[in-house]
Amino acid sequence: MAQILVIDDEPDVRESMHEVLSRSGHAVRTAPNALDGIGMCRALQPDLLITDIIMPESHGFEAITQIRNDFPHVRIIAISGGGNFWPADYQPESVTTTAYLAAASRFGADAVLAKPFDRATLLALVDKLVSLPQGGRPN
Amino acid sequence: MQSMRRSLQVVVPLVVVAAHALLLPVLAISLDQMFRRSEVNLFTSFVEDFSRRRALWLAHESLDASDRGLQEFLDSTMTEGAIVFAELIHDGRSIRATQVRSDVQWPASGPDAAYGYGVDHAFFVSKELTLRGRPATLRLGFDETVTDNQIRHARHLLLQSMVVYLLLTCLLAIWLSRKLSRPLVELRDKARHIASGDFARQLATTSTILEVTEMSAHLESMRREFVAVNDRLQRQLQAGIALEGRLRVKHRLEAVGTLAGGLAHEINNVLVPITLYTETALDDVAADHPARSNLERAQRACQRARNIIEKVLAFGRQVDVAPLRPIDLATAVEEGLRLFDALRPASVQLRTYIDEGCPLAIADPTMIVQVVINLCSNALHAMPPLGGLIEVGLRPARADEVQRAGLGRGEFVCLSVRDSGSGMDAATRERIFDPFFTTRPVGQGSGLGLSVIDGIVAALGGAIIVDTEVAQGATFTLLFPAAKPAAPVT
Repeated sequence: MAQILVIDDEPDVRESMHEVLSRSGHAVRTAPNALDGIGMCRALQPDLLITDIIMPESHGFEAITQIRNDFPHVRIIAISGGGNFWPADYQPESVTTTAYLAAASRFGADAVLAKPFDRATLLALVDKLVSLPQGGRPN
Repeated sequence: MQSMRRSLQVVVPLVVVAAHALLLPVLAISLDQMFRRSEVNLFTSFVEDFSRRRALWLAHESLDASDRGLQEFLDSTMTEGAIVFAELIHDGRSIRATQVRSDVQWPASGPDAAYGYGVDHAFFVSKELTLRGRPATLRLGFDETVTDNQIRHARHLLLQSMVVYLLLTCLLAIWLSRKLSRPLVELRDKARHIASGDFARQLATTSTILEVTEMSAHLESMRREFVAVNDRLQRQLQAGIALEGRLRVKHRLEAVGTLAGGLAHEINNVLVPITLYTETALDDVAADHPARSNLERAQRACQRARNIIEKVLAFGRQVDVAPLRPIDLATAVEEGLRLFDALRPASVQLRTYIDEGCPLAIADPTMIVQVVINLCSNALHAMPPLGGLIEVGLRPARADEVQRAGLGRGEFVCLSVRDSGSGMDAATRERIFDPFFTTRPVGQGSGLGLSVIDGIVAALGGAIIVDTEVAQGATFTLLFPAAKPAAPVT
């Protein structure tokens, strides 16, 4: 069992992840945006942080950067459904889901997951990260 | 009237006639006067000379000076030429020749002062002489009509010559004006054709006049230069229109791509809870529960929705590609053709030309397979009911193809799919890369095929050239950047 914090601005996404992860025996908390999520992360110091990237007000890169700095042992999974900072600064050639997730990896995410994903994929990735020794990074 | 005045064919003869109308009378009068004077001079010289000689003869000592002798002398004088009157005044007596015309009388005022004086057409001369030691006067009259006739005859000849000369001159002027104006009229007519858009009409004309020939040659070289410039401008204009068309398509794709990107984000977010809740719900229902099959259907529907989003993102050039690497396109193309073969009816022939010497290209094999199946499927759709031929080729791209596709420098691999189908008109040709554009009946095609291919090729850094005309089939030429050869291991 691991303590997991899920940050996503979509209530249905975080609720459904909450249910799936809870049912697999993890203790799950959720936050609707990056600022709240960072605060809860500091308070809870979870084993695993799952954060969306594109969110209103502050995006997931901030959460990843701060948590990676302050709590190096926290595992981080970045999730994204593509799209962009709708719609003013859309750049069709360069900004893709792959690009977002690649950026998340550079900011310090341990793993990335493209939306939509199924339960098996999510749980397999969570189990893999949780079972790693402290300080270890997945290949 | 205005145009008549300007016409060279009228102006030249008119000027010639007008000039002659002024000059010919002057010339005629001068010539007439000159001839008349000359004839009169001849006449008076003859008269003077004859009179003098007769007077000398009369004064000669050997002459019989009796009245009878004198009468015979006068009568013999009358037999000479144009003498019409002969009289000798001697000792207060008058002896006249017997043949003197009755209408000719010695003028009371004395001999004529000039030729043509009087109405009797006679010219009178008197000579003083000494006969037998005493003064005497010889009076002679000469007929003027012969000289008058000669003068009149000469005048007629002169007038006839003038008329003939004038007619010939007019004919010459008309001939000359036609000769001058014919090449000019010909050039004018040809220039009119050119002005009306028939640029192929040559401006050259034949003429024996050097200036006209030279002008014609200069005009023709001007026309050629003009046609060449016009052709160049037309080509540039066409290229501009084609470029504008491509840019329009590009902008449209980018706009749709923007929409697709945002839409995909939203739908992906919706699909996460649907997928997860469906899977969770499946855990909660027993294997024989009636809801289970519905939940499984919902799960499959989610998977289909994911596939659709991937396609939409692909044409919006947001395709999330597998890491690109140098691959042998021939293998992927053959794989695609193997899959397509299952769709191909026997009436459609498939020929492949694969150059084994093709360089590797930076691509993803599954994309190439998708491209081949999609293009061949489109070619199949364009075939007439009796069937046809599809030719698939793979070879190194030529420099002109790379330039035509607007790609930069470098080596490219060319994949071409040619069909003998119905071809496309310009309007269809312009829209084929539009998302959801299809010529197939409703339900037989999504219209995403070519837009996805376009997205894939662009994502790989390549380009597509389409050559097609109605009833002439279509050729899709795809260029993929070749991988740089690996540096040899040292």
